[in-house]
Amino acid sequence: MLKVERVTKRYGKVLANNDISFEVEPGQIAVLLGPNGAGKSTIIKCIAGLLRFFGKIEIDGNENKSLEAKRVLGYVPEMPAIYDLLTVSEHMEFIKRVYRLSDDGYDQELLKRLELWDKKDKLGKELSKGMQQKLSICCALLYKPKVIVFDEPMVGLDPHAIKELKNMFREFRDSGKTILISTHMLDSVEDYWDLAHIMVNGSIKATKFNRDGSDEKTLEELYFEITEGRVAEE
Amino acid sequence: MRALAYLILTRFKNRIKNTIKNPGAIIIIIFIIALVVISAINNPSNQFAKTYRHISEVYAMITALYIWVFVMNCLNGLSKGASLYSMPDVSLVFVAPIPTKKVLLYGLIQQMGTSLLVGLFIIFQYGWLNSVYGVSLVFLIYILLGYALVIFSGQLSAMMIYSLTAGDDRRKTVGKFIIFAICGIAALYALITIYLDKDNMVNAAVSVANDLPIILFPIAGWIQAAVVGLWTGQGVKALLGILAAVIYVGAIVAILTRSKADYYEDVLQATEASYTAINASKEGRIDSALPHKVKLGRIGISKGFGASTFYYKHLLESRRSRVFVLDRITLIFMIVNIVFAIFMKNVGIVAAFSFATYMQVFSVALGRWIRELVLPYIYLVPEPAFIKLLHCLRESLMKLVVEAIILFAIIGLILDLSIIEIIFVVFARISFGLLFNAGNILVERFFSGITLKIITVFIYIIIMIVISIPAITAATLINTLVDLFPPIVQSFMAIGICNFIVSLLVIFLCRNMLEFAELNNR
Repeated sequence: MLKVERVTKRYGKVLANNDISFEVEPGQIAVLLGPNGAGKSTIIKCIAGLLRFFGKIEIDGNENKSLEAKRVLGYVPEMPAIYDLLTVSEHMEFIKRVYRLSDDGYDQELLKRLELWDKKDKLGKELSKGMQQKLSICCALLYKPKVIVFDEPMVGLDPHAIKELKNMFREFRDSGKTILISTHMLDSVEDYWDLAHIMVNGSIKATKFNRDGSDEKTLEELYFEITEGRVAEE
Repeated sequence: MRALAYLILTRFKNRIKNTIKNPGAIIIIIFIIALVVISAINNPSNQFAKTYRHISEVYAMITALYIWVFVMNCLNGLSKGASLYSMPDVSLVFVAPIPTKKVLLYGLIQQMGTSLLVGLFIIFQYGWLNSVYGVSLVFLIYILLGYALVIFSGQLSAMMIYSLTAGDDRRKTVGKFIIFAICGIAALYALITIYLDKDNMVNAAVSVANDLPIILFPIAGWIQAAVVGLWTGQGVKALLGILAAVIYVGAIVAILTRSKADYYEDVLQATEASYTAINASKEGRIDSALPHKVKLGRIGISKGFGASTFYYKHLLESRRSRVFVLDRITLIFMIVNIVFAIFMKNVGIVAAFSFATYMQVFSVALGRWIRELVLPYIYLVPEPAFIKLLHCLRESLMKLVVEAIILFAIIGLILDLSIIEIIFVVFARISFGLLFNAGNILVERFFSGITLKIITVFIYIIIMIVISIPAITAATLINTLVDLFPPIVQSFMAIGICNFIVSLLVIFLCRNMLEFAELNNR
């Protein structure tokens, strides 16, 4: 599971995350929603151990910067994380070697699923933005992490890749993985989310569970009530 | 045209406002002004009996610099063109109902401003140019203006070359032939002249760079003539140089506007390329200067497991990006150092070594391991932080050993050093490479959270100076206190030992840097 406890992050004078706490259970898909600049990417980077912060983050019961936590964490960044001078297949080889994986053919399966297999000998720099994003996703999933955080994963993807990725989210949930997705596109998550946190100005302003048959407000209604309410206050 | 004038003025105004609001920029400006003022106050030209090296050497350096910049720009024109525009210009100005000629004029005015900014590094050379050659600030400003004009003309030429040759391989070959023919004739003339006076090669090289045939080199030679003419009061020479440059620029503008009114498509690719590069630098990513066409060769990393995979990946990346054993930037730095050593032959190894060390501060910052810090993998991989750091450094360390041996074997021969002396100079050079790498680790460990890049650069330079102090002090002291070996051997041995101790200490103390560093691509 993923546990974020009272995390605060500042960039100089700018307060990017203010005392944020939440949990995501195994077999659950949580989404972080919010307008641009709400602090979604910052908390995702803190979880991935890429930023210094105040507070505590646990991944599968271990402190997020520990080796145990790193072994089970997958991170898909907002900007594709690709080496210009490695081919697609070499990216897969790099991940297999660096994570000490045995060859089980999963790399080939992932590349085929995201339609990158025929590009396996293309260099990272020769790929389009969308293909780079797909490769970045493959790199994050190859070592079968238990907890996966996605930062705006749909941006730049073609319809087939979006469909496959949504299928993957469901498969991961069914296999008990913990999923956190940050996005500002409400319609991209509407059919599979379990838990949603709405962020504004670095804080979580509302949390909503996806319960069938409830007569609560829809996620969209709640989102606009909070974000547009903020505009009215200003 | 009012819209374009508004755009130019408002951007200029906002740039100044932004500079005033930016404490980092103000610190740097104060630092530059202080540097120039201190150099001016300490100007030994006010004192008696100060002998400078001959100023014609500076004229030769100007020629070399201008030719290099101009030719590189023209060659760029053959591959990807050049652009006077930014991406917002492409999106907003190109599609606006404004005549293309006016848009071209707007691009030219903008480019002039950018060229001046690009040339600001010349001001940093004031200290040594003033103390060695007695170059005044006014002359340096002439050189800067000339440099800006060469860049400006070079960009314009690249745009024209691209416009005339894009999509036509035969024209490209002709273009390449013309550029290489002009360079070849100039190089042949220079080599023959220098060879004929081989007893005095440095003087011959200096004199050939100021000879008429080289001064006739398009744009670079003409502008050199204008700069030198203005400075030495040779009005006719200056006037001819300026006139030739103005006619050249006018002719290109005429060709661009008359022969092919629609140049938008031609500049689009170059604009996108420069936009990506600018964004990369704003986000702290270091442009890896990738070759345009990469030869794949054997596919696969093939070796490594766990953290050592980073090292083998670096070897593969280096194989794909290198032209020789060393990368292009390192080779350029080496050539500059060797040329400096030739010019400063009489001063000895200390001057050549100091200059090479100064350059090394910047070349070390381009190491492949630093580029690794801008992608998440190095932080995410579940291996001990110190082991990952060591494997990341391996390739850079190997490169600096090769570079030190080649560079100082050549410089040692030029300066007539003995084998033993060369060995210790190489040892000291390697130790400085290690020290500056350690300094980089220190900066990343403690200052990676600073968002203002300009402040980071400032801190970087200060840290490099501070960690160099023990070695410099030891080298100075040892020659005063001990007389066991020749002075060069003693001082460079002390430098090497001191630097190794400081470097290993810094690397050990910052061994957990990867746990504390922040991903550097915000």
